[in-house]
Amino acid sequence: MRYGKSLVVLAVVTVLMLLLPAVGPSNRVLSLATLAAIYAIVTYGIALLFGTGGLLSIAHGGLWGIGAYTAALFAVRAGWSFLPVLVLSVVITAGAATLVALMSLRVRGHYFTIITFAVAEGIRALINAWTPVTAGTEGIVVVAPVRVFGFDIRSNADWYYIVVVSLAVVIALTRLVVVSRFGRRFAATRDNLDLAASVGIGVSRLRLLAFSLSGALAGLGGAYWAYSQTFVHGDQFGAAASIVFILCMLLGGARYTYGPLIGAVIVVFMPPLLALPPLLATAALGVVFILVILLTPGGLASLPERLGQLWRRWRGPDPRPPGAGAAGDGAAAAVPTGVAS
Amino acid sequence: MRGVGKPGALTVRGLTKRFAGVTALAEVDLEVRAGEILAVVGPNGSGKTTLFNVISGFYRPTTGTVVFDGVPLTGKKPDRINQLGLARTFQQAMAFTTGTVRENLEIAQLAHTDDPGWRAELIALCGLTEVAETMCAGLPYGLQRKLGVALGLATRPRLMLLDEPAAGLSDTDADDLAALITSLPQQGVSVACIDHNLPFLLPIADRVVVLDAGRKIFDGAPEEARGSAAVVEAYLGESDA
Repeated sequence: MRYGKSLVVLAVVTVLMLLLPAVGPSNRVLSLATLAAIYAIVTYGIALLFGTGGLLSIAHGGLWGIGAYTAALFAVRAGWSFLPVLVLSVVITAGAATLVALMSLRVRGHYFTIITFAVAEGIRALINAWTPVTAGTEGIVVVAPVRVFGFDIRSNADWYYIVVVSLAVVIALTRLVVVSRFGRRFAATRDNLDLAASVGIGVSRLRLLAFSLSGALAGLGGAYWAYSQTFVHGDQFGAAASIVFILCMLLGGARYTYGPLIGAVIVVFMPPLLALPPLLATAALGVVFILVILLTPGGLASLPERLGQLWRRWRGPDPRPPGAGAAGDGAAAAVPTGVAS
Repeated sequence: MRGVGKPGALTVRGLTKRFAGVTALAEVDLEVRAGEILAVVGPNGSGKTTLFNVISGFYRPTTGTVVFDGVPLTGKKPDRINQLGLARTFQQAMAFTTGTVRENLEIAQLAHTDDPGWRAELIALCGLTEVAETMCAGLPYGLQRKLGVALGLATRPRLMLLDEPAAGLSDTDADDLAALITSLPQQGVSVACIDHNLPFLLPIADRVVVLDAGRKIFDGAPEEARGSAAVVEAYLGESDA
């Protein structure tokens, strides 16, 4: 029963998410919620790399394009049915991620990140240039009948259910990976790569496997994106998309079970809620991001822990509460944003 | 628990390592015999740490071979070499900073058989009892160095390479460490140890290898090393030991 409590929490969170269509949201809210869940799926992948393994990948904004285009091409041009397309997108993207990892993991630290940046932009350029297959900058309209276990998937709510259930599986899976022996070894490589290798931890294979797994999640998110958005286009992918995922991850907290989910919800819902012109909305998101990093560097999901620390410090013998208390208050105001959504 | 195994033996032949034209090691031959404590000494920049880095797989040799208990190590990765029974410590104090001392030893066993009994023994053996539940990030320097040795031993090696384990230790701590190292061969661990502190190292060594400018200039008993003209010359102005 070690994971009993976590499973109950996940079940409750999942049920709450699944109840959303029942409260009669507008189509717009429902499609934004679907989008947030898709972003979250990809973000759980990069959070596994960054939170556990200390690897910051910018490749995922390109990789999820591979998933999206695999889905678009095989669903529309080849007429494959939904589940085989989904599996294929995941497998192909994981394969591509493995190749990227083989290249990029040869170098360390920020050099790794720079290579992944080049990969993301390379994939975008490839999609735009490879006209015979990808239709170049025209993009592909993804209209294909989708049946899952005998049900026709048509409405926004149908897609929402599918994506949220997948997300719940992704959350459970990534959590299991993190606490597993594999995850603990991977964390050791973040802490100290050379020391990890010196005590027999197979750092190369471990990081390769983690990158492939996180690529698989990008592929899954990409396939859902193609189906639910019904249109794929090269410029939806690349480094700019990666930055969005990284924003989700850092806002929510890379090392927390619900960090990526919280981050994705904020990134997707905040701009439309503010009803500002696009540029200002982006700027507002930037301000929120800076505040979060300053007040609670571990991300919003770390707030309860951080407030606990501040509270203990405030009550404890250390007589230096004023500054800390103020920071705590500011951060506390941000709680409902993350938790309520 | 694996129990006390047989100590390992290492054979290095014609080992050369060049970095962009600088020869750090030149045609070095040496042996660590099963169950012995070998001292590796030499002035700064003489290639001692490079030697350990090549043996443990962190560097690839330019030429030459390293064989451990009949298994060639040349070209193998550090993790594989550790799996084969060879552990090393680092010149800089290193730990998995996000965990306690006990958790560090657990991490060190993640790629090996989990062995709580051996961990508990090591904590006592390496003088870490009082800090077992302390986070490694805040550990005093001397204890960090002892932890480094403990991490290597946690992997149950048959050969241990120690890179300046006594650097920065107080005399008492160095004495404790000397006692620990001396006990290793009985536990099934051969030792090769680098240190500048010759009063610490020579009394516990069975044999001494002296490196100078990447070449082996002496290989013999500790008493003879003190009298060797080549060794005295290499150390001239560096140490009065």
